[in-house]
Amino acid sequence: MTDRDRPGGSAFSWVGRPVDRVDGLEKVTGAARFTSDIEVPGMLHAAIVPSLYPAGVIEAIRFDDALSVRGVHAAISAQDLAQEPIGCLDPSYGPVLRDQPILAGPLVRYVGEPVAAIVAEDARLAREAAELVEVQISQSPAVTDLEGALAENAPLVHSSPPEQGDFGGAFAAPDHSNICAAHEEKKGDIGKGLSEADEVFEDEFEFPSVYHYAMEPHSAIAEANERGVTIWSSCQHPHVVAKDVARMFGFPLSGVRIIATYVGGGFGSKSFTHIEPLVVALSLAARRPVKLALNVSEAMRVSRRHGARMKIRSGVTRDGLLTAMDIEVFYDTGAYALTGPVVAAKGCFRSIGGYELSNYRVRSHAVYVNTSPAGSFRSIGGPQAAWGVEAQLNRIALALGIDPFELRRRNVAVRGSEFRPGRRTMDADLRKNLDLLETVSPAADDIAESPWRRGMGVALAVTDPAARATSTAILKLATDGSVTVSVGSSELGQGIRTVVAQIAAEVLDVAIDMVRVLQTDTGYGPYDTSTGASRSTTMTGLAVQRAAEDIARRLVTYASECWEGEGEPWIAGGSVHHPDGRKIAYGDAIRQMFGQDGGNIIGVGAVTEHEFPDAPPFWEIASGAATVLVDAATGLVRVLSYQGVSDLGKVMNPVMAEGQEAGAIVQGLGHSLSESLVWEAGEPLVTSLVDYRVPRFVDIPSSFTLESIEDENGPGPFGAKGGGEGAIVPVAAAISSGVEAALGVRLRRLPLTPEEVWRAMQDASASTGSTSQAAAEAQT
Amino acid sequence: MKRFHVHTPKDVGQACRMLTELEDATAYAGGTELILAMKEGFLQPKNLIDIKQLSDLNELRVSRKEIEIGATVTHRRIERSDEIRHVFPLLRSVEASVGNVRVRVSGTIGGNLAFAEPHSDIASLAVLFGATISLVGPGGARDLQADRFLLGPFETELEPGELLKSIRFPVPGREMGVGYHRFVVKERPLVVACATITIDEHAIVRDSAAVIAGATPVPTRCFSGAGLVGERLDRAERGIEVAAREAARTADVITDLEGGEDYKRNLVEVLVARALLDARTDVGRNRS
Repeated sequence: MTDRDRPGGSAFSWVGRPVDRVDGLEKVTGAARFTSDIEVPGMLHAAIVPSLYPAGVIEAIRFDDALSVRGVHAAISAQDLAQEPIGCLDPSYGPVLRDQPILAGPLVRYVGEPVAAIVAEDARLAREAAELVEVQISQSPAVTDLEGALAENAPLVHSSPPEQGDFGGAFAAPDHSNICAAHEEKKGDIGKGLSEADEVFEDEFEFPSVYHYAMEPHSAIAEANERGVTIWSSCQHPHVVAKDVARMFGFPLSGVRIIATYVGGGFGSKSFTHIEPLVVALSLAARRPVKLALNVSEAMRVSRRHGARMKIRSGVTRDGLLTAMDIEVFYDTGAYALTGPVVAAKGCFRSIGGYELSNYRVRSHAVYVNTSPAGSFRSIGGPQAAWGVEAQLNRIALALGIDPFELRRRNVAVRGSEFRPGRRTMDADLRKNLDLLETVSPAADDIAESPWRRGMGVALAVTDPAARATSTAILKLATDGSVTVSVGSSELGQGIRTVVAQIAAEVLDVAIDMVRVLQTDTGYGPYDTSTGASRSTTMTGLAVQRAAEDIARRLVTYASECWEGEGEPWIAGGSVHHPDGRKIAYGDAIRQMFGQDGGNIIGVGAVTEHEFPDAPPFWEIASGAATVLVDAATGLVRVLSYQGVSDLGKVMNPVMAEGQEAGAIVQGLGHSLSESLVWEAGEPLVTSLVDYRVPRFVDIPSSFTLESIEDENGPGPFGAKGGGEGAIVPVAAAISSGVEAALGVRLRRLPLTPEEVWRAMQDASASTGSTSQAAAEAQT
Repeated sequence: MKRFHVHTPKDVGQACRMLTELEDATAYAGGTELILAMKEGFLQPKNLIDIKQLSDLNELRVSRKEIEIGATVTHRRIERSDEIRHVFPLLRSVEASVGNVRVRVSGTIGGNLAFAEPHSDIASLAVLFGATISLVGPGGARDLQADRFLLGPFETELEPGELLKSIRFPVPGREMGVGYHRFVVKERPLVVACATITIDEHAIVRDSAAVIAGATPVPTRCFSGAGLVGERLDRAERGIEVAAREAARTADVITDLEGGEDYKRNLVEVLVARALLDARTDVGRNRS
């Protein structure tokens, strides 16, 4: 029991306040160390040799010239992995399907796939030597897009089904096909639902492959010997990496230590295992610590968001009630599945969002293609599927003459509804969210100045995050009343270290300056499933809250045993208090327990999957409304204003929560308006930020309002729900529907580059017979 | 990036000699284009001749008739020059839109012109206003009009051992209106269109010109003034429409990663029209 629980006690001291980031000063002064900053004594540097072909068989690799360069220590290809000194037991990995090799061989499956690697004295030498490696590949037919991969008799990217990974879950895949996972969710009877409709809408949509652009490309250092390995890695799931490395190299889990220092952005690009096994192999080969730091062009080929193609058929009554939704989505997962099967599965629920539907069927497929692999990315599978569904709902609203907010209010699941069989009931008030969004959105009828046309779009996203709940935390209370927090969630820039410091300070009622959060270290620190799926504040935070309560309980129990007299002690202000006025400082209590030399109290907290049998642990909810200006002559789109409303349960730190929501929305501007990875016959055409246009400050809408709903009803600490991902999901539909409203055209493909919008207008005017009026537009 | 040596000549003469005598030598000033090209491996010079310190190349002279800008004057210096702002505001504002502030602080006008990037803003202005480019080399000095200097993408009149010394812009008079539109999607402008309209004391159009750049191999004059010259300023709209359509029809554009040919022609039409309309408004404002 703390002070605030007592009659007249104060509200929160640390939780819910805009506490400065605990890592802020370090980061703005450049003192913070990221993996690429770390130097290990004796360390060498690596470079990879990429495949230049999208599909083929490696005939020969010759290292002679590379090895003759002074300062080159080792060169390895797939053939060396099983041999001593590397002695890799299993070179294959992958979270869902173990389909990805450390180094390609004998088959290569995408341009840029590592086929060999070089270790040298410095990074420049390693890259120079890598260019001298002769790789002879005999090309084979490749499938380089979804259409090619799904064609009859298409060449198979993987000729036999790969072994299942640790992720579990049944992911069906048809034989002799490039579909690596097929998923279906259904309820009711689609045929019946469609027959009950007054109108049926059918649309097709295409979503681009996009790159996360974390500021820090993938980077890892391994220091390995025959007993085990220490890895410094810029990674989101250090405990998952440890499991993979242990299995692949035959180390006990305790022999694999992953240190995730500060991570320079993740967004899913650093989820699960990527370059770490290669770096371990190189360290074993060179018998020295080895660092591999990718550049942006290389990092672009490690992971990306799935491009997708979808068909959506919805039945609706004249009153705007949905009678059925039938959706089919194909996700392009590239040459290796990564989390593709899960992306497809999540995409099912994330497409139909929070709508009460008696009849639905969602079929989704992850498809192998001979391009770089696609994996996790902020709300996996969500932005793709929700874009189509929400854009179509806006078309339905327009056709039926129903306000788009109102159309959604009529169809959303109410609180407590069992709207998805076998899943958690709806735990939020979606109408309240839409009402708030409508209140903060600008009026739709303002007129834009020539040549601009104005339009507004709305979207609502309801997604199922935090599938895996497991988190643990260890807290230490020292004799000066200071607290050390150790968790397994990585600091990606999202602010987890600050949030858990606030939670620990709140529970133990100490100043936040007295709390230190350690870097994530699987050797010394506790287990955590992942840093992803909007789960860290909720699950890691809950484990920290429990660990802090564990310490509080030990203090109170100890004091109760020492003190005679009625009444239960409580903690406040760094001391244990008795109702009769006696008190003892934390440090004195510890000295009494251990002796004058002192000691510490260790608190542990755990959250397990068993606590959340009805997945998801909470529904992540974010709505968005965009007002856009479109230059009809050029197709240029500007987002004039954006409003977002997220249901966060209880916000731990309002500045950082807003940062997460704003970051998600701005990242969503990228796939909506400008970002797209493009290949030609398997050759990536976009390899740098000159051609890959990420949003910049000038692209941020001048009117940008973010609201949060805090009903304190989430499963996390103090009623928190997770955030950070949900807000990216409605962005594309809000914007594209705004453009559709401005121009009266239908948009089928993202991103809405000026040319894409212009072409949609050309198509529309061709079909209605009107002529191009570019010059006239220019003059109005 | 391959290893290279940096040399610091004492004067222009020595710089030219180094460029001639040293193996794979290239002049280096701001480095904003060169270093990127070297990082990507497009260029691998063995010797960089640093001309930043040569004061002969770093002068900025502004008179009522002419602005002379030394090759190593940075974009930022031009952007911040009050004198240029006063006599040639368009030049200042175009310079202020080059790249981003880090590029402008380091990048130079001479480097920009000598690199001959087809998307160059400043090159389009140089061609539109008939700027004079001065070169100096082992064979002496020579002057060229901007459109004679720029031969193609990344290709100029510069001979081996020759340096770009300065560029001279004639200052537009009050009877000339100017318009400038750049359409940017990615890092660099996709299409640039700039135009002038000059009138006589009776508000009759005496001269007009337009240049497009970005999507074309080099900045290209796309309008000779036909249909507009001799027309009253307030009746110029029809002529502008025709000029824009003609520019779109004849523009040397192709389909590539930046966009389809038909879309680029549309942009040329829209932007040329807008630039001419702005030039008309501008000249009207000068008169009033």
